[in-house]
Amino acid sequence: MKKTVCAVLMLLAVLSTLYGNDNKFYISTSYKNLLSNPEKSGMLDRIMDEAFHRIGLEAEIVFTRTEKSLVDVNAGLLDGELNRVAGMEEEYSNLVQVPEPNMTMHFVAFAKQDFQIDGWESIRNLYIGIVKGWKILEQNTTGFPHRSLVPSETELFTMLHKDRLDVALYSKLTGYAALEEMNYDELFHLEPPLVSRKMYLYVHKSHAALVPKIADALRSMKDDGSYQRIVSDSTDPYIKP
Amino acid sequence: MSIARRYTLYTLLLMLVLTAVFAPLMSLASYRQEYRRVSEQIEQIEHSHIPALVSSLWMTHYKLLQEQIEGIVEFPYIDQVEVIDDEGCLYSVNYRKNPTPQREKMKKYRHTLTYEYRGEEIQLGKLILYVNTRRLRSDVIKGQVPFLLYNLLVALSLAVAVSFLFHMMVGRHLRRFAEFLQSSSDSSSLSRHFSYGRRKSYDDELTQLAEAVNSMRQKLRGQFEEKEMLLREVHHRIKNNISSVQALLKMQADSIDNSDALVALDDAASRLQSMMVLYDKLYRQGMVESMSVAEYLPTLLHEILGVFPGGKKVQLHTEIDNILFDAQELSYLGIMTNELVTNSLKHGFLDQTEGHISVVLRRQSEQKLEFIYRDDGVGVSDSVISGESGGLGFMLIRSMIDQFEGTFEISGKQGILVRILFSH
Repeated sequence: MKKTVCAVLMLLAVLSTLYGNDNKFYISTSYKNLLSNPEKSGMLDRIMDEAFHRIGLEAEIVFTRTEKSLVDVNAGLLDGELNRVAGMEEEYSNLVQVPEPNMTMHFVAFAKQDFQIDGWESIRNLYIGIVKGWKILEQNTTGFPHRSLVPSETELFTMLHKDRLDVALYSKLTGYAALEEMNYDELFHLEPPLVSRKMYLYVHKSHAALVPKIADALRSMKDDGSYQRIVSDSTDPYIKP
Repeated sequence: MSIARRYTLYTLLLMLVLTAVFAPLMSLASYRQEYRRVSEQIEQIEHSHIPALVSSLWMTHYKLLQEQIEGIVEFPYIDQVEVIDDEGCLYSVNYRKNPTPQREKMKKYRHTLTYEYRGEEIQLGKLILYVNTRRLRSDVIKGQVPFLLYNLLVALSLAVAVSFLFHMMVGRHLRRFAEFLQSSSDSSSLSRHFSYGRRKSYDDELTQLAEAVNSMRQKLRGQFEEKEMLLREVHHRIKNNISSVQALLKMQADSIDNSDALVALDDAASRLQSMMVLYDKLYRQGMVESMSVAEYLPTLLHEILGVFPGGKKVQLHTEIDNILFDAQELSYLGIMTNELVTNSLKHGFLDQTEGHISVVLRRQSEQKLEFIYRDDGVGVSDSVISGESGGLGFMLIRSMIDQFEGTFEISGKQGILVRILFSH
């Protein structure tokens, strides 16, 4: 136990040296797609960049593996978590939600054929696939008889492409980005979305004072149209009408 | 080669033969066992790995598939694993120590990978396992090397141990026993008792052997003493009989006037003299079957010179080595010497007031003896030297030399010189 505490303290010391001495705000993400990517050209990369710029800080988005991302931010190793649904603070008590949403994420069913769907029950008996770890999808499909959990969107859409699934459940935006990359033109999403969730930035409680400022910055971006410009620039090339 | 060394050799040979017989049998058994193990691994792969491979293939999780294949290739003797999916894509991993396997020389196991979907068996691809049976064989053979070396070491140790133990417990005692028997073979040593001199006495075969031989030697000693006594008695009687015959011959000579007959009877009596001296000596000395020539010849020479008219004027020089002869050989030597001395006294010193006789018998080499008789008389004629004449005396001399299988040289220019070389 002592060894673990010592190791954490040493890690904190190292990270504070690396990240703590300037006006950068380190935000963790597990995305590598059109929302956020190492090239910093993702939609959220650009939104955060602009929002933090408006409050006099520099947003530095750092890739962290999904299962580690929230834990690290909760431990204070990083300053914020990029994009999560509401209520994460219940499980991660050191997190504080920025009340203004970053975006609304639509979780949809992608298919090769057109199905009439209307909520979760309408896909219960279909062969469905979801990416393992997507809690909102896992929770809503618990007990479905033909559910496949796959490691990433690559396998998800390949299975759909090979007719091994009836529908693949995924985020609409990132799903289309993946399909574009994989050249699966025959796949498309079904309307209406199965569920839509507003997504929020979370910050460590040590930065709670910044929360109103960040929320104001996001709101001002939405008000002056810069937010919508970034969204359109980032997503329009991918989404099928 | 000593028994101990033969033991070592035979033990080594036996162990080598056993090793040569059992090593291939063990190799075969090991090979079968290893092959069975490989077959069990294949079954294990079929039961535990193939469902996972199928799942990965179905989910198109090729990264996981590759990791699973890498796991399979870690099984012993599986040098290559291939999975070909439904689109013909090949996923292959080679055993890291055999990056370029010769697939045609390996045994192949094929398995079709299917997944049940909507009640149908969907063919997802096939799995091919390449089992390197050559490496399996090679490893089994290599595995036998320590066994062989161990066996050789055991064989060598066992052989040396057997040899050492045999030497300590048997060999050295037998050698001592043999040396004792060799050094105690004459009749005078038969009374000596043999003992191994072991620190502790054992009632074993060696003790029984020594006791048996000691007992036998005791009996032999008794028999030998009895035989000696009998022989001595025989020699005494022979000597007495010869003495009687000699006396009769002398009485006969005294009663006749014919000079030739007189000479013949004197010669015969003289010849008997040499035999009488011999048997007298044999009777008197401890040994009854053999005697040193140094003991016999000087006595004989003095006897002849003593009884022969004019013999006392002759100066005798002898140089005779101490060499043992048996009675028969001494008899031949005595007769020959008697003839030579008699010839010198009768013919060589006729006109001389005194003469010299030299008799030498010495060892010339390991095998050869040299007998030299010399006088300074008038010598002998060429006809005698060539063997054309010489009377009964020289005939006897030649006959005796033949008995010894020797060579004979005679010179008669300045006295007589006879040199005989014979084996002994």
